[in-house]
Amino acid sequence: MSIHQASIGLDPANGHGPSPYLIGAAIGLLNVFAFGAFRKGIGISGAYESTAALVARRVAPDTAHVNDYVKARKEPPKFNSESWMVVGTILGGMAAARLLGGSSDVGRMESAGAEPKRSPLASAAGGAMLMFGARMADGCTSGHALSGTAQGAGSSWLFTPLMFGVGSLLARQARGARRPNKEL
Amino acid sequence: MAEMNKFTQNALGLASGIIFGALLQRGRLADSRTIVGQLTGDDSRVAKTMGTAVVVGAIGHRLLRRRGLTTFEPKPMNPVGLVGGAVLFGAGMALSGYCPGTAAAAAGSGRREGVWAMSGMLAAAAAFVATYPRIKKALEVGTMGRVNLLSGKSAGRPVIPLDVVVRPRADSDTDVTAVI
Repeated sequence: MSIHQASIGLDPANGHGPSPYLIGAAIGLLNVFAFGAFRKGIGISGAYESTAALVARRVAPDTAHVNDYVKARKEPPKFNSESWMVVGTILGGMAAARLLGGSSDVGRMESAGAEPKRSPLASAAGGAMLMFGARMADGCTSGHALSGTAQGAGSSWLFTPLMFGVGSLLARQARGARRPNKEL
Repeated sequence: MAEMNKFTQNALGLASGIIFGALLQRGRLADSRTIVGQLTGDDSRVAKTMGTAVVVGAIGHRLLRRRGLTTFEPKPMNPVGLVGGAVLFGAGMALSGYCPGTAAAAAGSGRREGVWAMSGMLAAAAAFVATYPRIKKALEVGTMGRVNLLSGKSAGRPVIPLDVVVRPRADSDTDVTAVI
């Protein structure tokens, strides 16, 4: 990236759009705000768990062993500020796409090397795997990779490189497996 | 920051989420292709964004902590939970192209794959709730408590009285039943 392009916040490698450094700095500042306001950084996956627990308690408390769950967690699930943060994340994505345009698709055509869109099954199954993993590890890309690493948490520095390493290995293998088919 | 009531906290949570979701969407992270592109090494956007966010966050956290404006509560170092979780998480991220935050922003921005990913996540969260009492002990085998890499020592349990996660052999069933 040239100095001029950097100064106007554009990243030529990714078409027109805000520089990832600019977005990253803004997310970092938002996290600093969260450190001050909530006494902890941005965390997302915990809200999925508490929401699921709240729904399970209402719908099928016995099947989901909700009482045992509450005993093991030592506190009842709540719809708290973290849950509102997830609601906000959905609304923020919606507002940005509607008001500022779907920058995700503008100027980014499906090039030869572009990844294909995910099937509903791949999206749902992948989502399920990673959420179970996130709850096993007590954090996700937000709680561990963004907030925990910034604090110097040992757990986050174990989780983050390992998670990206495994993801990278599998994504590269999947791409390798797809390529020969494309050539046929 | 002064103690806030629940309403203010929730409102600030919502506002932070809106900004977070908008930034993810504008930064093209609410798109599975960007995340998978990072994993395959074709797109460095995720690394640049997250790397910058971590550096800014680390500086800000240090400054706030020095002034006593925030706390340091690293998630517990549970090797089994962390390694098993990271492997599952990495595989799921490679398959779906999302993580919990980016899927929410993607679903909001109108991407169906974001909605599918969130559905899978909620289902798995429910499965975790149902199985947690049985797998808790296994997840906490060999726990090292809350490890702070910057000070090179464990933040330790006594500092946090409600720290339930780092007690591997806590005889929780009896005392907690009484509390609940």
